[in-house]
Amino acid sequence: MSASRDRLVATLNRARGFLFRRALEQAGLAAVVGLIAVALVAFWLALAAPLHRGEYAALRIALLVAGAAFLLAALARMLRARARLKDAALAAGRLLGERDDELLTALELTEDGREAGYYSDALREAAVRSAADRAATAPIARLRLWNARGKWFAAAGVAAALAAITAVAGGSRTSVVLRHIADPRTAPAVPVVIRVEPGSIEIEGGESVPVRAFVRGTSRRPTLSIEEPGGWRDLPLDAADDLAGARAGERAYFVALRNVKEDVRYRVEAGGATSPVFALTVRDLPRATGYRIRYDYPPYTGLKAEEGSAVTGDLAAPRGTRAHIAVTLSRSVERAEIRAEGGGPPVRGALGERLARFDLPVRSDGRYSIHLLDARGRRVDLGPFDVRAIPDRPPTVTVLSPGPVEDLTRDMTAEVIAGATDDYGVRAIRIRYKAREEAEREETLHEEKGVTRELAIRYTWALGPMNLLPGEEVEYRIGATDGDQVDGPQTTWSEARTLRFPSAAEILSSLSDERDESINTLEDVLKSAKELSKKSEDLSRDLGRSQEMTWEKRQEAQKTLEGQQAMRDKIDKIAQKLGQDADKLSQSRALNAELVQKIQELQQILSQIKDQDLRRSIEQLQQAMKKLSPEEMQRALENLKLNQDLVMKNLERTIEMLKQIRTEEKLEAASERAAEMERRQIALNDSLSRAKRQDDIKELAANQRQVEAMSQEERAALDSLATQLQAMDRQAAQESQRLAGQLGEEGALPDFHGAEQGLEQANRDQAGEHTKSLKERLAALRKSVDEMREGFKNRKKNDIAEKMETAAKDLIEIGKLQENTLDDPTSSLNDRAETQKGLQDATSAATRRLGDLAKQTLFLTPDIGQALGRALANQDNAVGRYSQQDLAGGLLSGKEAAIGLNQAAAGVLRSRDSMQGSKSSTGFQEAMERLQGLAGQQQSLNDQSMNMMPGGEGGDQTQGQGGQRLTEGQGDALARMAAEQEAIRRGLEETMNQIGKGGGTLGNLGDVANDMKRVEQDLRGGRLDQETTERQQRILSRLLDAPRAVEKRDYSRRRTSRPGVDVVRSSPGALSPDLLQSRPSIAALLARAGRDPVSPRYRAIVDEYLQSVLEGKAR
Amino acid sequence: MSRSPAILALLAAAFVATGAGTIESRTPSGRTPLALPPVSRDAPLPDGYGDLVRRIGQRGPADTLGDGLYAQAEAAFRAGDFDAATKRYQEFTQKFIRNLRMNGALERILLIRGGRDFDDEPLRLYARAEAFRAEEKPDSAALLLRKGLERYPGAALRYHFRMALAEIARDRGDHAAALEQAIAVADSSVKSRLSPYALKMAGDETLAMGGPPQRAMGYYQALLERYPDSPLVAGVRAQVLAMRKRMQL
Repeated sequence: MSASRDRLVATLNRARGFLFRRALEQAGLAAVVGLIAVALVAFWLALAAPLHRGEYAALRIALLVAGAAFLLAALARMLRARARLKDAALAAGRLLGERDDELLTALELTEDGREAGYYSDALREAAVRSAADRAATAPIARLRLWNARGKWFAAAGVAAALAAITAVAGGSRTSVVLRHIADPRTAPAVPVVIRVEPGSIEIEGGESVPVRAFVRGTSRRPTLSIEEPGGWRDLPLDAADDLAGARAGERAYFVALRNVKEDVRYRVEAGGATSPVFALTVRDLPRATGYRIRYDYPPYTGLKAEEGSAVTGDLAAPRGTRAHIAVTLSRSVERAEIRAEGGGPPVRGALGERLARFDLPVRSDGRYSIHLLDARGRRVDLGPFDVRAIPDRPPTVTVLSPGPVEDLTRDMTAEVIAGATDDYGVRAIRIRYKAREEAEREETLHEEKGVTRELAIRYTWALGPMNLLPGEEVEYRIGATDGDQVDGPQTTWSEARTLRFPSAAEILSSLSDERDESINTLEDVLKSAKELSKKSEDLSRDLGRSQEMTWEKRQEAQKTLEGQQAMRDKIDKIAQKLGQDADKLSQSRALNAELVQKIQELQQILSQIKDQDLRRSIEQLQQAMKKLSPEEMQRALENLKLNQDLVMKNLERTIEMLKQIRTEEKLEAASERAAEMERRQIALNDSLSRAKRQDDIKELAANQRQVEAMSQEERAALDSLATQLQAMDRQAAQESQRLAGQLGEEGALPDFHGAEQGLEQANRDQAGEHTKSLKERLAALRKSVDEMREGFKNRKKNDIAEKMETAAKDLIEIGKLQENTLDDPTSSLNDRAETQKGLQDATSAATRRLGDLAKQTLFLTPDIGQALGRALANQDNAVGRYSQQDLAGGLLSGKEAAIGLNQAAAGVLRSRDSMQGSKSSTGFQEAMERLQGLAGQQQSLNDQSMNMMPGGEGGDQTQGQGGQRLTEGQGDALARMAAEQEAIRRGLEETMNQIGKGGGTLGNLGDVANDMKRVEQDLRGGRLDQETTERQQRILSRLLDAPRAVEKRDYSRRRTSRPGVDVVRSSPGALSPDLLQSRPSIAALLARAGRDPVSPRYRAIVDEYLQSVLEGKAR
Repeated sequence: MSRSPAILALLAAAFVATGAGTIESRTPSGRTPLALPPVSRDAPLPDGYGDLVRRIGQRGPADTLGDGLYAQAEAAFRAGDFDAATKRYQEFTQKFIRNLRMNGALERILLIRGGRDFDDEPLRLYARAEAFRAEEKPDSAALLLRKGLERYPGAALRYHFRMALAEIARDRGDHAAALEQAIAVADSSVKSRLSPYALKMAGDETLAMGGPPQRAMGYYQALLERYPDSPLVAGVRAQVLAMRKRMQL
């Protein structure tokens, strides 16, 4: 069995081999044909189409894949080929015919176990053997043959032939193609196409440009390269979200170029490909966006460099300044330069990014332009701009004080407050002045070490050494010199100013004129007050009748109120004016303390009217306006009328007093003018006697004419006075008229004309004759005017004295009646009360009269008022007591009232006696003289103290300190000195009491009295040291200053502060020492005498004395 | 009403306790009763009040201090030594300011000052007449005053003379003579401080002599119109009102 089986198997194995080979042949051939066909196609493709590296690579890959596929297909085919024994048995069996499964069956019978139970081994052996035998006969080799073998070979041949034909037809490309297929790297790469939007365009400056790149041919992300001076700068492009615009095969990329101000050149690179270079061309021309200018001022200006922004390139700077101009541009430029309009080389600017800098000296006025050239060669001109070379301006001088024309004060000083400013800086402040016909002088008031742009000085200019005569002037200018080191220092002078040494007559005349105006205004006010009063009354009556408050009535009341307000304003103005007059008068050398006192009192009265009476009226009316009830309105209007009556009364009194003051001022002015005329005439005569040349004599004619003009003024003033005095003092009026006549045609006028003629003709004899006569006439006139003035004053004083006596008599009579009530044992209480009330009313009336009188004189001392106050209070009390049936109380009060009245009457009489024995009606002069007397006593006491001090003449004998005891005699001396000091203090207090409380306002001497007390204590305690004597000196100083303090008391209080100035120097001292060395002339002597604070009363005597000196000199 | 007597009694007691001795020695008119009856408001003061009035009206010690000096001055005045008198009066007024005689002293001072014409003769006459009046010799005084008026009709004191004559006549009860003198002083052409007093006296004397009240009122009215500031005005006005009421009734 096994042999058969083996034989069978061997046969079958051989059949299987044939089968395998046939399968291999079939598969290989098919694969070859297929591969050739594919390769042929690829070949054709490569030859026909312009393939690139990638495509070749793909082609190669495709070929490889096809080859592999064919191989695998062949392999699979082989594997699928029936190569198993059973397949071989089946295929071999077919070769045997009829039954093609005979061998397969035999093979199966050889397998162990299979169907073993059904067939016997022998059978199976037999069957196998048979099969093996048959198989051995079978044409196994035929299994190697297959039917389509030829076709396949033909196909393979055709394919090979085609390939050969193609290769031949491909020519030289065949080898290239084959090489590219074999090695795609040798094949050309695929071309990258880059499309860029927007490409090259023109844009507006600052625009944002979206750049889109469409790339085909590569998937690599492209980059945007921008050309910069140093090369290309790459910017990545992002994949665009929006594929709009992209063509097939293109990838879209995007980048935005923002705020493009400059031209931009760019390109896109991708996959080794580079787009063309595109240009974004900014359309606008370069323009200036701003200017920054720095001025480097020349060192001599003292100015620090300044830098600032500007909207134009205009330059304005001091000459010599270097201007650094930085022009910021909208875009960078290639070239920038400045060209001056007047020619000259251009100035090239330094360029920066959108910036051009220039450095330009400012030498003179002109214009310039900035020329810019941009990268594209376009030219832009900026400007033209102005160049203003500010020249060295001269300093400016401002004189704050004194005014353009100002009067000198009594102390012959003027406080000059001046300021100067300069662009380069002020170096010095100067003064240039000229008095009379003298040559102009110039002084430096202050010189700065460096320079300062502003300089202010306060300079107290003492003009005393100039020996000015009243009416003379000093013309001066204040100058400032700058520190210009380029063109040399420049000096600016203020306008010419004048300081006048006013004559007293001028001051008084001007005041008198103003007084007329004040009187007129007050009379208007009074008239208005009367009208208003009448209106109020009418309105009140209307309201009483109609009991209705209509709109029209309210309007009337409103008008009344407005009228009151207007009155108040007018009075206020006059009060202010009076205050100014008092200041002016107290400042001037024409000081008349009495006059000042009166003016100030009038001012107080007016202020009282304004602040109390009128204000009350207004308030009442305002309240009335608020009340809707006609009854209340009526009541308020009635009250208003009463108040208005008081206002009118006060106004009338004020007007009368003003008229009186006006007259006094005119009298004073006439007196002063007469004295001045005489002084001038004396000076003129003196000059005439000294004159050596004819021209000198001729020049005096002008002075003579001035005196004549003054005489005419005097004449007019005397005429006017005569009219005014007619109502007050007929005697004075007649005298005034007579004196006016002395200056007329039949008086001094011919002499004036003769003197002027003689002087003009330089006829010394003729002139001398007339001037001498004039001197005598004027002296006589002066004396007469003084007498007239004094007479008027005395008569007035007598009038006051008479009034005082009348007042005293009133009080005595009331006192007597008051006493009589004490001696009346029978009258009922009611009668007593009535009588007492009547006496009280009489006392009140007398007190009011006395109060009015007190405004005219200081002699009515406060104790009189106090006594009257006591009397009135007791009288009032007595009335009450009697009314309450208190007989004893009424009697006691009545007695006290009588005592008070007696004391008041005695006081008034004493005052009257004092006034009668005094020199002035107000007592002011006496008070001043008393102060001077006290100063003399203090001086004596101080001398004693100094002598007793250690180191003094008696110092070795007395020691108040250091522990040494005083001897008995020394102690007594100190006690005596303490008593003297006390006496001086009491005198001072008395004087202060009289002036200070009697309506005056004495300078505060209270602290002096305290000092005196301390000195008293020291001396009583045996203490005399440095401190004590210093205190005594201080007391003396204050006492000596007191009269002056009195004169200026209110001025200092009302003085308002001036704007502050940088005072660099308060007082550099006297101007010219040589002025002090000049020999005083008679004119100067007279002038100085006129300046002294001598009472007009004594001035005549002083003038006479000086005249005698002059005459002595002349002889 | 009920309070007054008690107060008066207390005051009276106080005066008695404190200064009664002094007062008594100076005023020998007797003691003030310690308890006084109630006083009516309208009726004249009842008896007993006169002393009280006098004592209160006159004098505590301080009010009489200086009487001696005053007496000296008066003596000098009456003796015709007017300079000395003025000096003493002045001294008196300066030193004793609470003495109620100060009023008289001041009057004297003014009188002397204003009346020293005709070598002081009118003044001397007047002083002498005053002395006579003080000595209660009015006839002598009147004689002297008349002589003075005859001799010095233009003297400054002529109206004083007339007023003194009028007062003497009034005191004597010769109302017509008093009226005559008073009217002479009250004449509107006379610028004397005595005029209002003269007018009042004229009115008073007219009434006293039983003259027509209208005439007296005329004098009073003239006083009120011409001398509205006079201290007499209040009393006279009250008097005029009372008279008018009576006349209407």
